Amino acid sequence: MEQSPTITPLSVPITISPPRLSRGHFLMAMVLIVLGYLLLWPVLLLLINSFNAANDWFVEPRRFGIDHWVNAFQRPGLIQSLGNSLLIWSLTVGISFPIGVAIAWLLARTKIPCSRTLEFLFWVSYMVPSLPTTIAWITLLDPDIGMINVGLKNLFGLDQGPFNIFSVPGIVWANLMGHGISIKVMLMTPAFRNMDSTLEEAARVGGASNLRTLFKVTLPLMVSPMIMVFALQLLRVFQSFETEYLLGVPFGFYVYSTKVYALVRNAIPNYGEATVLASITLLMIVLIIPLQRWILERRRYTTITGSFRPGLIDLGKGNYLAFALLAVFLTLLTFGPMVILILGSFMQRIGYFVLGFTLEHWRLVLSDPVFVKALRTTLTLALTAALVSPLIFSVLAYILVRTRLPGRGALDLMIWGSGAIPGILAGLGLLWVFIGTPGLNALFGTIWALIIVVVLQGKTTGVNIMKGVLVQVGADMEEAARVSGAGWIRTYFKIWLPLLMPTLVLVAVMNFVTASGATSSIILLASRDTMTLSLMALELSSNAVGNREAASIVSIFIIFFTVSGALLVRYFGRRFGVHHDMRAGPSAAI
Amino acid sequence: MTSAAPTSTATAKPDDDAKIAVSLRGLWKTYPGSSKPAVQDLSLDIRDGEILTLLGPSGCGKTTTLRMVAGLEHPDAGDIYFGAQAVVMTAKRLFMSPDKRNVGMVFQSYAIWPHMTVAENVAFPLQARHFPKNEIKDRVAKALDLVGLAGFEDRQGPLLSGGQQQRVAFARALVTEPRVLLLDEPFSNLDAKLREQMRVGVKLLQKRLNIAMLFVTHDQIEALSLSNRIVLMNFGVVQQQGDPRLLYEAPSNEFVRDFVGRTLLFKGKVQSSNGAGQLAIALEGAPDCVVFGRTYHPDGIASGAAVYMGVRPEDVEILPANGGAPPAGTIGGTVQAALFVGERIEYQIEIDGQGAMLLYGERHRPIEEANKVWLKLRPDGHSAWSSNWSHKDE
Repeated sequence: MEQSPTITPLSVPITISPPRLSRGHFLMAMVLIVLGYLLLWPVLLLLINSFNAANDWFVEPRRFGIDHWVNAFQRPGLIQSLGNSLLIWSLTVGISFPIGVAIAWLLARTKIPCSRTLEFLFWVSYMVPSLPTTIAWITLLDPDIGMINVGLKNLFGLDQGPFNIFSVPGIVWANLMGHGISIKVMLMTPAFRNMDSTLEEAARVGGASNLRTLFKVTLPLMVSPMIMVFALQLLRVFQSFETEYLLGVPFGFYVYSTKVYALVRNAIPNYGEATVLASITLLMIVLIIPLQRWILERRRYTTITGSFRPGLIDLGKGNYLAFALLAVFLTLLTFGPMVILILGSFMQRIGYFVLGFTLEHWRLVLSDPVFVKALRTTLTLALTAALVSPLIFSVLAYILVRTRLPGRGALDLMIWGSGAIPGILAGLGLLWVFIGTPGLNALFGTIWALIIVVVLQGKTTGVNIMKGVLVQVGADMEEAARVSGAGWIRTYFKIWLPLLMPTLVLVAVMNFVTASGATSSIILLASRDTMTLSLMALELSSNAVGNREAASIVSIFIIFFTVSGALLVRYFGRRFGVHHDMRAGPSAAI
Repeated sequence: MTSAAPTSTATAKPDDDAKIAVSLRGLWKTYPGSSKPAVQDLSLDIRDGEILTLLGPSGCGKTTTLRMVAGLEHPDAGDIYFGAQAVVMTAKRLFMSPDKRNVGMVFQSYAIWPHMTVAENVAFPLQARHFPKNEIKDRVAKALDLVGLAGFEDRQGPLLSGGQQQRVAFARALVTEPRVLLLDEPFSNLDAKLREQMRVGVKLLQKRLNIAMLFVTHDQIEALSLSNRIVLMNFGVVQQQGDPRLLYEAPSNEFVRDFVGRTLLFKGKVQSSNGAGQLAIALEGAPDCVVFGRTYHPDGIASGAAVYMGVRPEDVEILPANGGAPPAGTIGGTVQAALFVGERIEYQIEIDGQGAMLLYGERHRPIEEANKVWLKLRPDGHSAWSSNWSHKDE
């Protein structure tokens, strides 16, 4: 090999770059600071404030002490509300899990007719927020005016309706009908579908009977996705709010989230004890997260498969029986409630068929300025979330997947971990951030506070979907453009944007849906001026107001937005082959 | 050369500029989080009109090297020059971004943008460099014609076969007439037949354009057949460089010997040696078989030492045994299994005093299993090694 000639560098087209990644480092620092301020700081603030022993935080100076902790543990029913949360969660999971497994197995592994459509309908029922479903079940099972109770009273000449939705079994029932069952079906069916059928075939060829194969091979294989779904369910124990608020409060039954709300929204707000309760909950979550992550990480590789030919079991006539059974379930979960809400909205008085039907409620609601404003607020929130979140999430995903910037681990953990913070607590924390930060306190009570919440709400799922697509698209698409002479800007507009557009739209629609149904995350930040449809429905159907006919109408609007969003997601998901990842993180299970 | 390409330069000697298209000087690269450097102190030159191949197992640093030339990776230390122009000088913190370098690159996955047609894919590098519209049209047509895809202009990327995608990738890489073309395992995604065709196609294309090519592969057949020169790498270090014949016939270490082509290792004893490294070696298990080989070990190997003789399979002739002891210059053996693979027959032969080896025999003179054979080795031109080290064992 010959020696290199003496070479002198030319100065012409070369840019001498300053310390190379400085812009990247700056961006990373900004991202960590802003997200940390909005996601992490509120949570820390809850913990810190719980030790502020001042009685009135707005008047008295800060004084540290454990007074609120002592008071909280002495106040009857406060710590018990955490136990109630656990009770409701255990009952709901205990009942819905076996049902969910059975339905997922029927959909994924048997020759049941129209299994894809049925799966999609379960998914739709998951997309519908639990607030409208709960309102529908109140319409049916209110002890006095519930349609079923009234019908049974008339039919059998009973003095009292046999069912009471305002009870622990009632809350569990509403949870099951809300998301309890549909979420398990939604998460487990794809996992069961992707199970490698050659494993089963190997067992059959190896001399095992159908039944033996089921018990020795299929079921053990199913255990893995089941454990994953269970792990994802662990944090749901603290997520629910609306159902317990509508059904539990009337008979004095509080779970931790409704307790926090009650303490904050008391005539004399008891922020101190609310933050204590929030802190205890956060500590429990902090204990659960590593457990959940450990389960998910450990199980990650056991279900991966390249085979997409599931061996389907023919149930014979049972196929149709199973189909009928699932049709009944779907009716209970989604279509029943929808029909009931529509029916109820036209009744003079819900539960009193004798009074006949009327358009009056529709006329009143549609001409109510409060409703018009709530509709406008909801649409503003949902559309902003749809427009802004995909941009932010794609940048975050890009940083995580494509760059080697320091701090990615922290960023990933922050996005993942904050997905586990229940909406009501995130809202409470943000409330203090807004109030406590000069400049930001002007935001409190305005729509901007809500926009920040709804934009960031879908971050865990959204970032994970974008990450998946970035991995799939591959860095070489971008590198090919760079080598071809395109700068960053041209690469972004000519290569990235067109390639990512379908996913951006998908994430946009998903955020539209979550934002239009948001309740617990924004309830503490909203004011009279920034009431959304969900908050309005919640208020209308609470016992204090008790205008269930109007609540039905508002609910119909919420369902309309979410279901049409769901249909759009399906359209884009199908067309561009974007699939949900059940490991997308805890917020996927929210 | 296009207007965008930096060609004539005032400072460099014209003679050197014409010869060297790309030179790398002392490149080091360690990925963050890795303790071992991916590339260590690498220096090499790619001459104009030459195909230089970076060959080596996966993880040997060859792709990293290619990506540093393209500008997709930053070396930790070292310089890169295109002709006389420096594109990377780490000491001076100088780094020319990939879009300014005017290299052509064919990616392993081809990276055909799925949202564009064939013509749009090929036109992209020209548009990025602001060529006039009518020239773009001409050049795209010319480039597609060059790779035999005229008439496919409006086809969408995903609707092309693997071979067609690859040709689009070549057209896109060549359309600006870059001085150097970078190929990252371009044949690995093609089936065997197409791979052979494309190999010939690339060789012809390169002759026609007289362009410098830096070609990365782990496939030694591709490397041997395409290259003017091969740089064989392992663990980020150049093991040997030279023309294909040199690597095959005079491997400088065990890694090169085992990586390029197949080698049979015969046990033997050095009978005599000379200062130039030539050895006469008596094979174990054959009283009357002495062959000549050489060692590249700087200290040579002393007489009487036990050695391994590296023999290429095609340098062994399989003769049917006619009873009695093997004649002079041969070693005896027994056929354990005969595998007919089409163009030849592969024999598993238990060789006297050596163990079992896989040898190749002619299709027209089959030998039945369990028969005795005599193996006739070429009398010289082998290599001698003091160990049987094999990189495959690592």
